[in-house]
Amino acid sequence: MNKERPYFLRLLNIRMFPMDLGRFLIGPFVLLAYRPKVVFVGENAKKSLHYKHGAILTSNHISLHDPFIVGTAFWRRRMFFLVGEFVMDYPIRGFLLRRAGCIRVDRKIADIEAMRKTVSLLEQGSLITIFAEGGIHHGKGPGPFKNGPIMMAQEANVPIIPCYFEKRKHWWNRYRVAVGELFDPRDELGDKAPSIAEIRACTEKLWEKTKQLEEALRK
Amino acid sequence: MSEREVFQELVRIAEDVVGGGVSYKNATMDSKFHEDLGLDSIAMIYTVLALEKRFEVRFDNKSLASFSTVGDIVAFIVRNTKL
Repeated sequence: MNKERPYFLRLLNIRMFPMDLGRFLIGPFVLLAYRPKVVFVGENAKKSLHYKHGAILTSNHISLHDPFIVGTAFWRRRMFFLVGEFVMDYPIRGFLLRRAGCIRVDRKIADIEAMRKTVSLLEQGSLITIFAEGGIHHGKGPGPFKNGPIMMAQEANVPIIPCYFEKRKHWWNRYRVAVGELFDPRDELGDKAPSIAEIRACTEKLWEKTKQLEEALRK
Repeated sequence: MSEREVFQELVRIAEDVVGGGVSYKNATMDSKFHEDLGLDSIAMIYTVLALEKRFEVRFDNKSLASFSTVGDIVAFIVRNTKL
């Protein structure tokens, strides 16, 4: 069942006011600090940036600045983030992060409540960023991906926007953010409930797409 | 529904979820999800979602954290199913 509301109604959602206010007040400074340059990889990659329906944005994770980099590259849209319990479990910080659109996920358990909340937001048409490596990865290129993004996208019937960026050499350089074409797990898995083995194979394909983004950035 | 029926259905669902021809024919009520069946957290969530649809029950993090064996989850379903 499609629970997605029209785009303009989603824009006027009063419950999102604190998040929008934060974006409005902090956004310009963050945009100036990071100045992300979006590099489109693929013929239809531009569609990913302007996609207005529910979607998961997957990205690599190199530092605690990453939500700001991704957030400013996709500044046109409200963005939710899946954030680990070790970041969220502080009273004031947790409150502020929840207001800013962060969804707490407990990585130590099978967190079904975070899964439900994420799927519900996706079905309502939200954009949710998941750092698919499951934590900060310092190695070269994207690290191994977790299966969660594919599983959630399949459950909510939404596509994935693959994204990749690298550290800038100097603080005055712009961040270059590679954005790929929409990746729909249903093209790989069909409408039936897939097994974990099939989800792993699909996750591997998403990783390969992200690897292509890394290679495109190096060219 | 009897515990036996729920157990058989749970094992079938877990086999479907894991896929790749995995068989849990040696599973018992005392089998542990992670150690004996090899279900990681994602497989566990996926199994639980399938169980919710099949038995019309609803799990939360607290109940999931309290399960250690297949028997625990079977008892929970028998207690809470609307079927």
